[in-house]
Amino acid sequence: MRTRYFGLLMKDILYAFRNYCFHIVIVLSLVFVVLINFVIAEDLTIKPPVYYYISYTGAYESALNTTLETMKKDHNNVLQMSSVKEIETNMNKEINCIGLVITGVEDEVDIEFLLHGYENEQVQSTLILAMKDEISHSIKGEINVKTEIINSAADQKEIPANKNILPLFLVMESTMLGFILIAALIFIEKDEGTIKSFAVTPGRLSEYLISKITVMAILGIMGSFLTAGLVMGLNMNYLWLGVLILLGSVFSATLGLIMASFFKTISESMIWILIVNLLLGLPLTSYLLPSYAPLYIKLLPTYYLLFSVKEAVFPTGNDTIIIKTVVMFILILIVLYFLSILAFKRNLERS
Amino acid sequence: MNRIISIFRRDFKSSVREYILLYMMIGPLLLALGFSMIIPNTESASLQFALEASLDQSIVDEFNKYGSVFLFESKEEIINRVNGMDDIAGVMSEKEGSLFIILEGNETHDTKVVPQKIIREINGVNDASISYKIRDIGVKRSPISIIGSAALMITAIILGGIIIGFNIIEEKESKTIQALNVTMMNKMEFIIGKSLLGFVLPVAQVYIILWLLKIDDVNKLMILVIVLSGTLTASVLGFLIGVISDNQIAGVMNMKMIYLATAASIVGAMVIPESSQFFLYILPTYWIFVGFRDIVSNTATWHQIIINLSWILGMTFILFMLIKKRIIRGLT
Amino acid sequence: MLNVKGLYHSYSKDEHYAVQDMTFQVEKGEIFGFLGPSGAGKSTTQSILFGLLELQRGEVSIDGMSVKKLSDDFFNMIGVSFESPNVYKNLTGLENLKFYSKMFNVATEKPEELLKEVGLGKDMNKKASQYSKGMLQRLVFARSMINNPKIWFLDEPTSGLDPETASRIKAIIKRKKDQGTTIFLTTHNMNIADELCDRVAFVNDGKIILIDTPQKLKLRYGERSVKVEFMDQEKLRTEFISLVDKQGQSQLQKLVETGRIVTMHSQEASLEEIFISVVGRGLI
Repeated sequence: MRTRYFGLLMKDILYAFRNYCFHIVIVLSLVFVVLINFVIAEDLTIKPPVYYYISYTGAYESALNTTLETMKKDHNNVLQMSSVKEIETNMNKEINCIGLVITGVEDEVDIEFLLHGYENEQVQSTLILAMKDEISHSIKGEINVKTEIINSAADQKEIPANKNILPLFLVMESTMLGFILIAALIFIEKDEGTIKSFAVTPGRLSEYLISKITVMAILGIMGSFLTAGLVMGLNMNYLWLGVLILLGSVFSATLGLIMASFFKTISESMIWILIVNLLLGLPLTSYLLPSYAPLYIKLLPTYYLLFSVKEAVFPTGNDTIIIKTVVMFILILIVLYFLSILAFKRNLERS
Repeated sequence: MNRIISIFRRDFKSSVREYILLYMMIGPLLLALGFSMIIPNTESASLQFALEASLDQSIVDEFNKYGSVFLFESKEEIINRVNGMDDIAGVMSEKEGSLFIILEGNETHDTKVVPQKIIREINGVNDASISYKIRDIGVKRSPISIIGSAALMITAIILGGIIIGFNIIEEKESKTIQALNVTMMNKMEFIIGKSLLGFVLPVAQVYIILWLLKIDDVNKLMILVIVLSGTLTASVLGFLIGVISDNQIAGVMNMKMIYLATAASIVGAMVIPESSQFFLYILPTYWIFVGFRDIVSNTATWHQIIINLSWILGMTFILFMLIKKRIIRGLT
Repeated sequence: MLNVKGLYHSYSKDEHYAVQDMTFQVEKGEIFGFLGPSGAGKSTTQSILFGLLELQRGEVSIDGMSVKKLSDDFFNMIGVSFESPNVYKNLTGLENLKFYSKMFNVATEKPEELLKEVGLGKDMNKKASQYSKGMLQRLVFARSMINNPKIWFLDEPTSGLDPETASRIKAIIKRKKDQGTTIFLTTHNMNIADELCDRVAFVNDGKIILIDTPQKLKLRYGERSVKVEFMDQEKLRTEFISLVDKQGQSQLQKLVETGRIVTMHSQEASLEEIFISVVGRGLI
């Protein structure tokens, strides 16, 4: 059995190699390293421009001016306009910006926010709140609210924006690669009929599938260690990263196997493979907007993988996240594995 | 011309037979449908708060104004929730009644700062003599729906090209290209015949996507210009995949590269400051995406569209000239 | 060695049988020809015999092992040379065989020597994608020998081969038979069947029409006759004369006595003709 498995594995590795899979994984990883290290800026927070017009005169003038000055210091694109009309013209050109009109005299200050119309009530309330808070800050000074931080290591760690993308690449690229690739491998063997010639040897379907899954895991770990190593150096938890990428690649490869069993050719399956790929990629929204975590995203395993990989790459000592994910993936894999065997048995009998 | 149509018809028939056409049709549309359901969600609930259930209803109401509130019975439960993977701020009251915040530490700026502001607001620190108003200029389309719809349209177009590519790979594997070469088939005719399917579908799909996403107040002619030039790019890319890939694995790997370039165009146009986007200029997909984005946000002018069009056609032409020999060779 | 009893198979799992009521035995060391036109149910039967298709109804056993329980021992004992060239195109001929040899847990043949034997020695380090059709055919053939099978399934082993290579392949088959290998040969080429098989089965419409040795079939169904060319009043005449009936016998005797015979050839019916006369249709 071991001889057969290694025989299959050698053949699958050779096949992947001759089809340039290894080359492409290396090239993609290097391209990504260059992007992260040299192209993408460390600070990517895009603050929408604020166009303001002020005609107020009176007691609050200095407070308002201090507020505007602080805003200008925080954002580099707070710009004064000479009329409300000018603000509106700018807003019509730009879809992501805010207008601010301050009018009134003496004790009556009227502050009007000009918005586009798509912003919801919560965003509107938050804008007003921020303005109020800023003005009272410039009048009354700093008022602190007591805050308990559970994990102070995480608090001190500011992750630069370019490096923050690394877990996205590791999960969406290195791990999910197996999803499409394994399907392609299967379709080639279906086409060649070699799966039939294998079926008349003592070799077992499980060995055949596991060998392919192994190649995907090797490619995944190779790609992710290369990328992560060149970006982070020794500053990360290689052990956990390895475990997570291993589980992730096995997950995506097994899923790819199940998908492939439903179709006859790759063109037929392509659209579905891409759709499932996009679905599995949805958690990237939650990764980039961490306070956005609706149920349909939390149902996707990649959501947990993404945050666990982040913890492995930028450790804050919160190992429980990783352990939970590992256990969850092991359970999912057991189910998926049996499903894939079932799917293939059915599939082989039909052809 | 007749031969072109006969190739097109054969491709069409074989695609229909294997349901590929159906998949091609509904794939992007399914995505659009899914996306139209997600948009309203992404636009709301900007922040999350985990509140102690025993807090005054007025406090809960106040937090509700700024985000989604979840209630928990004990401090342990709140800490557990805050420790979860997403960003959520915990809020509790001390024995004597003052509010305090519980954070994990890795939250983004807003989740850390906004709860403080809300608590200060509740504590009545803010000045009441200033009045606040909100007025909008009547644009209902959010950046998310604009970028999403533009991304969907470019996906539909690129997918058309990818299908062309895989058609060629499969045909190469079954050696029908050689059979065609024996006949009088002119290579250019073959190329055009192959591309027709990749041309026709995306045009229809783009308009259906716009309809599904209820984006109806855009310049349809501008859309058509970008779609047609985009399908040209996609076809060239499809042929590139087709001729350089010996088999389907190679096809998948090459497709990944094109997928990466497309993703880079979209993400690049969003996160890189406009002044340093110039290194994306060589990607036709960048111009397609930017074109769609500006048309959907109703900010595009014909002048701009012509510039986009020239870049798309120019870059596609250069790409075609670079790989022309390869295509001709690959097809023989 | 191979025992098939009451075998039925239906792809739609209803009354539309692709194979029905097949019963036959193949003895150890015998070459058994399975003959019939395409679509007759040959491939289906074969696929059941070596376990690619599930046994629905009937009994099949090889060397006492039922195909219902497919064990390692079962697959270690069989070799299958497929008609379609199903090899890894991106591996060389040698790599293909080396890979395949690792799939068995019995002693296997040396890949290099097998390839030399089928005439691929020079090309064994070329990728299979560069092989011609005939070379692929031989690669599949060589591959099926790798585990030194006790029972060897050959599906059209010589189709598409030039006469010289074909005779090389036939020589290998004969030698294997002499070494005691049981061979199940599926073909629609009657000449090969005639040349190689100890017994043949005629298959049509999923049924076995008859089973016998080629010699007996010829005796039974072929009308034994001679083709005689003789001078008849200064003209050369050709006539087929039956050796079975009295009239023919006396006619031949007369011709011999008068000494007018120019040439004389004994005629026997070919398997192909017999197939047509028995089944009522041709082989293609």
